[in-house]
Amino acid sequence: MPLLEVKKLSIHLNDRPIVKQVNFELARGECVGLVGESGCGKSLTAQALIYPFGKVQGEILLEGVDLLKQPEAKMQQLRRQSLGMIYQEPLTALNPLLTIGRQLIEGGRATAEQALAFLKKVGIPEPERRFKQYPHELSGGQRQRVLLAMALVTKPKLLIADEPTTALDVSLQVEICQLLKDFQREGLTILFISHDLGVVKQLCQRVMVMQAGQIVETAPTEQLFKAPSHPYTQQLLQWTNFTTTEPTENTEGMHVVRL
Amino acid sequence: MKLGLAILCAVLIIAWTGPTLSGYAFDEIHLQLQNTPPGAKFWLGSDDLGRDLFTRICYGARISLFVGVAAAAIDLVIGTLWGGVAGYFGGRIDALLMGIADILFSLPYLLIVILFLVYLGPGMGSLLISLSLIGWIPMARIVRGQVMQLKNQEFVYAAIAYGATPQRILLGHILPNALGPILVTLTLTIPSAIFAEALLSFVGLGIPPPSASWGTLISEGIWAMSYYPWRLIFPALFLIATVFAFNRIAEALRHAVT
Repeated sequence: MPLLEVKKLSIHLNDRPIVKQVNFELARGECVGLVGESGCGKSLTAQALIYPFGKVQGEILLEGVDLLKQPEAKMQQLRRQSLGMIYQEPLTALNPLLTIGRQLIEGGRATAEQALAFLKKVGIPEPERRFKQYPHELSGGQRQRVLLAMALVTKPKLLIADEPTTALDVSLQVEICQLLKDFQREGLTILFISHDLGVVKQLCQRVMVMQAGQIVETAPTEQLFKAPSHPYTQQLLQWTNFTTTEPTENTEGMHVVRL
Repeated sequence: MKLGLAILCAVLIIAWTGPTLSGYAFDEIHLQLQNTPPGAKFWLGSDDLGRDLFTRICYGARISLFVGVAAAAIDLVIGTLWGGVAGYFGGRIDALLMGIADILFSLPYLLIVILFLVYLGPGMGSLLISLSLIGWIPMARIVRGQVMQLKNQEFVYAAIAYGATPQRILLGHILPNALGPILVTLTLTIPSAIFAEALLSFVGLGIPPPSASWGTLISEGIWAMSYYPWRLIFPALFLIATVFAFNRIAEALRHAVT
């Protein structure tokens, strides 16, 4: 049984269909990319897994349990235990008035020791000092690490990453991706939302392409980048300057960039 | 801020220690010493029953400040709850709660307060009830606006995603972040409540004699204005200084939080 199964998911905002009959599956331990341009409904889809926004129809099965049919109290528990989410802008995703440590242990999600250990794990130097600091005292990369620690400290089964690298510079993107890969190796399943195809290519085993509320193509990463079959995917790769041809010998391992 | 706090502290210290220093009780009558001008015996003069004006102003300060702070506290509690719930849940709940507030707010304030005071009879309790009847609405509006703005912040979504309960989100994440504007509104509510109390005392609906608020003292002083001006000037000065101090503090807070 796949970890997550989404069946015929439709989301309406103000009676306008935004997400239309979306179906996908996430196997355990998989990292799947969800790409598409702004406003195509990818964030809304991810949000629906955690906190339905707008009118949501269909089924979202997490280990066979339909999240959309659970009472709110059960959902709170599921969010706390089985689901994690990280966001695009780590500064606004942290409460400015609470210390890092306070947010990590918020509502008894973890003990102070667990939280400290996790800060260390996500690569924050001097975790004891950071533990007592406020979000504004940290750098962007550190904040994103804190957010990652917050999402993962409860050891969730599924991590939903909503453009976690978009607000970071390139070297930090690589580091965060490395972290996500490490966690994936430990068995975490990741739904990675991005419009940055470069990051997706690095990180994901499978890619789903979304256009105007529908998933138009799903393929293993390599295949998608090599031979995109849907015209929208082809166009998307072209727009983002990825070549769709085989790399030549002397650029082995690099992307040929068309300027 | 400093000037405001200094004035406020001075008023508080005077009100607290004044009666001990002057050696009079606020209702101690000296019939032979009516309307004595300020001097060694009565520092700020005496009134038409020979009561020490300074002592009466000190007691008045207690009543006026208590009314101001208590009315603001009641406004804070009702306004925050009302506005918080309306802003957080939105939709129909918001429309209903703020509709009620709008209807109450469109009633003529002074008329309602006077009607209530006449109905309940003068006294501290009825004064606070009638002042808070409409007074909480500005607070509710401020809180609602703040909550509506904050509840769409990502850290609130994050808190939801991490399984926080609505109570925890409202009390732990949203309201602390709205504290600045709440505090400013609160410091502005205190002087306006003091003023309202003075006004009501002035028209004879305040604290019944022999205790006296600043408003009562001023309204008594008005009649003696031409011959015994100190009876009007000194209570008025205290009232003005206190309201000024609170407004200064509110202004400084507003600068600090926005």
